[in-house]
Amino acid sequence: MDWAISNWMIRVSDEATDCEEQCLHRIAQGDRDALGELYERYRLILIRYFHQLTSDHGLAEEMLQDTLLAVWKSAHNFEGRSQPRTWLLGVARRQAHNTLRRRGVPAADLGDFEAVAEPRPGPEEILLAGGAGDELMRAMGYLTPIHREVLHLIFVQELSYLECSKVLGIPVGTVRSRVSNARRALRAQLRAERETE
Amino acid sequence: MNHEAPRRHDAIEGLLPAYVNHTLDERTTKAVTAHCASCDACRSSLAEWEAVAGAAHALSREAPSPSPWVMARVWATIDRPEGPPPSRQTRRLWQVLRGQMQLVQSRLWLSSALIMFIGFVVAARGLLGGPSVVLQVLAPIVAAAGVSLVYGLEVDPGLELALATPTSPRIILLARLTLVFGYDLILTVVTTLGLAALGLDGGFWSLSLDWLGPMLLLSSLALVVSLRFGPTPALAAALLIWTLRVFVALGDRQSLVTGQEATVVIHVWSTNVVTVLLAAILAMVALRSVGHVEPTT
Repeated sequence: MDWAISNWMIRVSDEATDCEEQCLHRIAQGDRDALGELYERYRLILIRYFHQLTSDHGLAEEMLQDTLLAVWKSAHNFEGRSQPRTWLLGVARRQAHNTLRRRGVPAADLGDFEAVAEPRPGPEEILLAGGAGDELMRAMGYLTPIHREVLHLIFVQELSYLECSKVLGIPVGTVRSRVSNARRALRAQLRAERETE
Repeated sequence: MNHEAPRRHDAIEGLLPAYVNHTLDERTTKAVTAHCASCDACRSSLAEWEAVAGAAHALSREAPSPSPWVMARVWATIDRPEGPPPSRQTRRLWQVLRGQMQLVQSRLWLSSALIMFIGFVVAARGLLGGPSVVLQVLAPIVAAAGVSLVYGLEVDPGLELALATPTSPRIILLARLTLVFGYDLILTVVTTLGLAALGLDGGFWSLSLDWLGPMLLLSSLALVVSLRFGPTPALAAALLIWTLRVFVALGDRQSLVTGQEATVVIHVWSTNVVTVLLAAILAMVALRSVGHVEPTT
């Protein structure tokens, strides 16, 4: 990456962070416009995140509403120790899980996935790189929510491993292994699809 | 044997997702770029992660936008008054009342009913001074005794079970008071109606005023003592106070006791604004104290 562009991106990103921090402080003081601004800024980001956890759009919107309510009530708890986006995604994740629990949607069995060993290096790696975009996207749709979620947080929300560990409430090492396991599951899914064709 | 190269390769391989999402610092990014230029395996792995990132982006863009009314719903919820809607509150209150009805000891219901029935028979026969005196003597002490025993582990093991539930101790006390005091109140009203129907010693309102104020005051006093010192001291205190009050009243009627003190006692222990206010204050004090003090054993 060109370093001039990189520095410009960092500066823009810092300005955005300051703006979001101010927005959260205003919400904490009961500023309704600030919550509206935050919603405009985050509505697509959040709905896209919730769609990694559920395919039901109504449920995703319920999670979005619950998250905005939680932000309105708990913005005073934001102390600036993490990025506003990380804090917000953490709130969103907690609200999403509360909504799923309330609706009786069973949570994925995390233990099984965390126990998967590191992927074996080999020619299968070509599978993903050589896969057509649609094919790969379809395979990703078949992943478990827990794997889709971690890939979304890393590659779409562009969180660092540390930020991701804060959002998910797990150690950094577990984030790393979960990302690797997600790739392995994706390979297995692609291979299975190609074998049935 | 050089182990440095494989270790470096493994380390770089682990950094590739962070390299793809641009979260590595400048120095590490340069190191990864340089390594990938000379390592086929890492280049292939990088291509794979880039494909995964592309698919994750494409999948996330498939999600439909939120409906236009999402924010309106959020504001509607924020602006809604606090607390559950009345229908839910009523249902919950009914559930608590029904639960406590099963837990309050059955002998409380039976003994109150039996005493009031005996009082009715005695008053109807015109014994012991007739309906006015019998109701004045019995109604306050029956209600106060019930209230004394309503909230103590010593006399009610069911309370321990009730207090282990998520329902607050204050709600449990309020439910029990409603049940026990309400039951004694209904019993007394029914007895008064029966005696008024017989045409003895005045009408319903006249008879009711004889017992209502003292019943409220003695019961609230017993409740405060019960919560502070336990059911047995409360019962003893209620009995003592009421015995003294009855003696003063009897003395007043038969002109055995005269003087200003007797007049004050009788005024305080009759139905008037001061008595009712005092009873309400004591009841509020009792309710406020629940939760701050453990139920006495």
